[in-house]
Amino acid sequence: MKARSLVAFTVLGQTAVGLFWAQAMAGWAVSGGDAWLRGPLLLAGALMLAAGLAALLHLGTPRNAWRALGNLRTSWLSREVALGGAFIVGWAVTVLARGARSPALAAGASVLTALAGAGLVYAMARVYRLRTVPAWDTRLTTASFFLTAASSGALAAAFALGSATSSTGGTQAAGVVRALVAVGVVALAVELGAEAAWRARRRAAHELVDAGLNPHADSDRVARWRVGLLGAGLLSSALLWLGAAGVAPVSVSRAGVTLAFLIVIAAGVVGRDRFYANYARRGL
Amino acid sequence: MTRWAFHFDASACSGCKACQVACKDRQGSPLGVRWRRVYEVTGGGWTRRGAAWEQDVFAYHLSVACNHCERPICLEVCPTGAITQRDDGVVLLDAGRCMGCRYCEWACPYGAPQYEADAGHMTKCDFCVDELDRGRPPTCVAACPLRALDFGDAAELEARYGPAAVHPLPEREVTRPALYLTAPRGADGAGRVANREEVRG
Amino acid sequence: MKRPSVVGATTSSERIVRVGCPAHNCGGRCLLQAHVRDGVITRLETDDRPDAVADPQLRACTRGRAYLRRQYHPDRLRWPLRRVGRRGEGRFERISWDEALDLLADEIRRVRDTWGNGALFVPYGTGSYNQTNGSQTARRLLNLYGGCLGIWNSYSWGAINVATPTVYGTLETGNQRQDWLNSKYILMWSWNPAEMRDGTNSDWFVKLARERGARVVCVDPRMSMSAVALADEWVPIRPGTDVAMMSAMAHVMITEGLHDDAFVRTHCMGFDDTQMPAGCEGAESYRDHILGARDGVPKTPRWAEPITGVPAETIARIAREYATTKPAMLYQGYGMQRRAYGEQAVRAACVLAAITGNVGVPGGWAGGLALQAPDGGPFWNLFPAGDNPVGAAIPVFLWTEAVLRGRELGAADGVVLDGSVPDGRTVRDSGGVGGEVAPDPDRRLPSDIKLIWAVASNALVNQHANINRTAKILADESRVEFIAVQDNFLTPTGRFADLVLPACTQFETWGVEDGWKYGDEVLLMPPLVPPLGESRSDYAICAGVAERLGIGDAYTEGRDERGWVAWALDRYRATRFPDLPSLDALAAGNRGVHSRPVGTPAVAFVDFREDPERHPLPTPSGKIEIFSKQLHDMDDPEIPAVPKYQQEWESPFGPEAAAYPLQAIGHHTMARVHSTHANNDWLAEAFPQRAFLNELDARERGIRDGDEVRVFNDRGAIVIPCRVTNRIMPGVVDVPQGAWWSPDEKGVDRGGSVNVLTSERWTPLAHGTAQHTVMVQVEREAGS
Repeated sequence: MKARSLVAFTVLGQTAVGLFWAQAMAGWAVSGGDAWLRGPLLLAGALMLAAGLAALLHLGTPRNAWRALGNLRTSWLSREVALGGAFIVGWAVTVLARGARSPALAAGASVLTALAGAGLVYAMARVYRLRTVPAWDTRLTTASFFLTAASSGALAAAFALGSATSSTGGTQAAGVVRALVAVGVVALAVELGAEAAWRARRRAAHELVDAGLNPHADSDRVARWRVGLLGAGLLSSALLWLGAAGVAPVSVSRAGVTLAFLIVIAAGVVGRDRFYANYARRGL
Repeated sequence: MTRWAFHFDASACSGCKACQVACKDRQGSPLGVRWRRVYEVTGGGWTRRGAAWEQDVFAYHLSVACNHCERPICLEVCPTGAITQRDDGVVLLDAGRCMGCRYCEWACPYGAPQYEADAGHMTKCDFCVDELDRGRPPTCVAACPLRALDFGDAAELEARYGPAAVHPLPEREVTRPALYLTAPRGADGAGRVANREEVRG
Repeated sequence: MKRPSVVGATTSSERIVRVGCPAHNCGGRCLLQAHVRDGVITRLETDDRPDAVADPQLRACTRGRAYLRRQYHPDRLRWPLRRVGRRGEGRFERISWDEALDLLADEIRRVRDTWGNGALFVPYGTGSYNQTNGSQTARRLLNLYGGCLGIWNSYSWGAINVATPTVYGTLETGNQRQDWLNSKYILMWSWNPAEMRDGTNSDWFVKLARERGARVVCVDPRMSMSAVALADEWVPIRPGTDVAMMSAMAHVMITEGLHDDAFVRTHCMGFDDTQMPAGCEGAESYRDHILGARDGVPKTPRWAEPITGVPAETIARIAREYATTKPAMLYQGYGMQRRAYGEQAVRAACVLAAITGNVGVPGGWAGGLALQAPDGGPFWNLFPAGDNPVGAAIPVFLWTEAVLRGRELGAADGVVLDGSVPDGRTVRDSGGVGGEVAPDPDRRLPSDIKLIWAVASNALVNQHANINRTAKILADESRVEFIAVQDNFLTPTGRFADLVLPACTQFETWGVEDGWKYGDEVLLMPPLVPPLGESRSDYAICAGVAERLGIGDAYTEGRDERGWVAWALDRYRATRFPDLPSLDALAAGNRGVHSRPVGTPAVAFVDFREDPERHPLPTPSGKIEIFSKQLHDMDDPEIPAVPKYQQEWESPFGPEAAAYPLQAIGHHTMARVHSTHANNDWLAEAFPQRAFLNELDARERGIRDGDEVRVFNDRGAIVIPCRVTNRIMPGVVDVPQGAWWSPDEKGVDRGGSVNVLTSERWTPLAHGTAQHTVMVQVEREAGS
């Protein structure tokens, strides 16, 4: 299926969660103030709000969206909405608490927001674990959603830090950026490996659905774009890390980080677009 | 308490779609919305043997609306609670509560929930509950010129026709549909739906 | 068109009226329950009386259920139109009824005065035909005005109408359908009642027969809806080769001694040389032909295999099954006789029924047209067109010849000129070929056709063969000087009108109908809502013209539409329905239908079977004429005295197959009733117009399911999407008939009307349509 707003929703939302985790961990890892993490923190919220807007765009009757909390008993979509709301509320409290210089409150809110974010990514994945949609009903889905959060979130944080003026920073900020890029490299490597698993899953799933209603699109061809972009993202991130470590003659410029970030986001969008395109139902 | 179910005789359906159209007339459904759909399933092929053609072609139809399942996956996944189930098994979709996320459409293995683009929400077969409540048959059942559709108590229909599904309907356990079938003649499980453009989009 | 989904007891402003479904040429006569509120029909339900074999529910088909999309279609004609621009451009301006009726009356008068009554013509049309709507209303008018050029026979049943009496002397060769339940073997040959209907419930009766143990076999180039729903076996056969298979079946029966020789001795004539008619003792008998005694070609299954594409073992097996299962039906449908030598297919099927002794026995079937015993079945239309003083009638299919060269047409062209012509569209017991009076070979029609008044007919353009040819003929205003078209919509025929008259639908005026070919019911059709816009019933339009021609009183006889319905009911009561209540009682009772339950179903030829001497057939010999002396005396190799397979003039075996290797057929689709409902969006959604092509043929041409394809021959081209399927024989493409011709700027039809491809050549005996005899090529359309 074509589901552009949902591609945007899931990629933006998972990036926002990953970005929040990244800035939270950076804050815990680095002593001193966290004013230098203000940019990434705000960006996380902005991305999540944009995700929510994209989700609303998907709806046929957005004015009924408030009813989406109406079936927490059995619906993972209801739960996703609840957790998304919790994340936004927690993020807002974190922002306000930091602004009001209440470190205890900020820390508590940050932890709860991070947990809500994890729950949100998990709930997003569970939404797609439909027993009637074999191409989606796999732990690969859950893994992929978390991997998106990790890779896109890490690179987003690196991008945001690279763009932010660092008052406290200097080598600490640089060190954090290096660590983030390393996380991105690892996550991207895992995602590359997962592509082989996805290919096998697509083939297996196609055996379980009616071929007349679900003509097998040549998604292997587009999957190569995904692999290519992942590879490019992995390569550029690795180069940056090596440059930051002083091993490679590459400077960690703002442009370099931005480019790596954009490639990783593109890989995420392409991968998610393919995910939706692989939709096929058992039965009719 | 009666649990309502459909019986469909796949050995007697011509694919004429009187059921589909009668339902549309009752509901005023717009183009693209089919509360009942008729799927053509075919298989087999042709081989030349000298000057003659040999074939093992088979074909049958499946007329499917909503199966008012015992484990309705649509109800499980709907976030707004727009989908509910009566004690007699009928699954109802309240369009007024629906936000048009189409999640039920993704989930249902029978294609029952239909998205009304102009209205922005889902609708689906309601077993003609107002007819049922007056002791009359659903419109599709009353329409079929070959009398291939019937309805009644699920337990009675299961005792008479057995629980088996017909390819490519999913196994009963997936959602436990209130649908019992007479199998078509001469079909093996290798058919595929041949009229996609007539049942989707 | 959304309506509230809660349907409960009617509100005080809503009523439910039981009414016959509008009488198109759909093959059914069914009952609807129309919900009417505030002058609008909001919903249609169907018959809910108790369902019984003797008196079954008359459930409406898919088209009846979709009817409101036609009734309220935005393109309904609402007021009269006059042409602007050239004829065929399809540009019109609105005029008043006075102007319109004045114009039509003036033109009728002018043409009559200039060219004579024989130049006036009401073409064949079955868009509606049940008393006050339909072409019979215009025919009556012209017959009262000195007459017009009449027509005889039909597009549907050209060959079978003429060929059936050559075997049985009558068209009443069928049993009431409840008798089918007595049959043990039903060979559905070119018959698709589940889709084209052939009488409401015919498919259901076959289903019931199956449930009682009958084996059902479908012989058809397509695995039709009927084959899927009703048959135990599908035998695909090359179109136009049915007689080859039937001959081979006869060969098996004769050589294996499986035919009913006793019955042949006592009831048939011409089977072998011991029973040839006087004067034909030395002619070739049926047995001679089948065994190849004269032509050296025994008509064995092995001989038939390369012709038909049916494996020889299958032909032999079907022959044995049909011959040895008692009683058995070989039901011949109509597609196989709407072809080059369709008369042979009819005769061959009748002969097989005769030599297996399946005539005059319950569960058997004599074949042929099979109007229903004991009284010929439904009337369809009773409205009296009256006698035609012109005394000339052309075969319906030859009207373009009458435009181009009417004054050359005579008896050799099938023209009936004996002073008293059959009424209207069909032949009923006309005595078969030629009638009582020997035709004068020198007489000709008095004139070419100069004025056409098409009522409820799209047969002028869309349904006649070779549309591009017809379009050229009609565009020439020096030939047909005036064309009036009367219809609910501006059809392809309407494009060529000089005057367009808006007719109301059957829901908007009085009517009454009985069955379609079969059936024992009368269905009342009271008007439900007022006519849309300024539309009027065909009857009212004609009455308006009659006034202006000075024959108003003679035309109406003082009756309005309701009055004519009452008149029709009197006819029904005096003949088939003695218990029929009055119109007032029927209308007040709101039952919609009056039925005559069938107890023991009537079987044709029971008396003849019991005592052929005391109850001879109305044939020259009094027996079943396997050999026809009448045909023999015609001395025409295309009209043999015994049924023979003949290669068609467009066939896969001729030189034309080099450029055009595929046979095209156009089956009668559930999506339409001929061309009625072509603009019905719910029906188009259910059955989009496609060219159906076998997987092997598609693959060879690089065509995938859904690709646009060009289907073409020398006569024209259509471009529509392709449905690749295995439910059709390789070598055959099906373009369901009735789609509206929609030529683009290059003249390529994008609507998919199969008649762009068909030929105007007619059958040798009946001068009937051979529209299914077509060779084409199919190619993937570039850019698709």
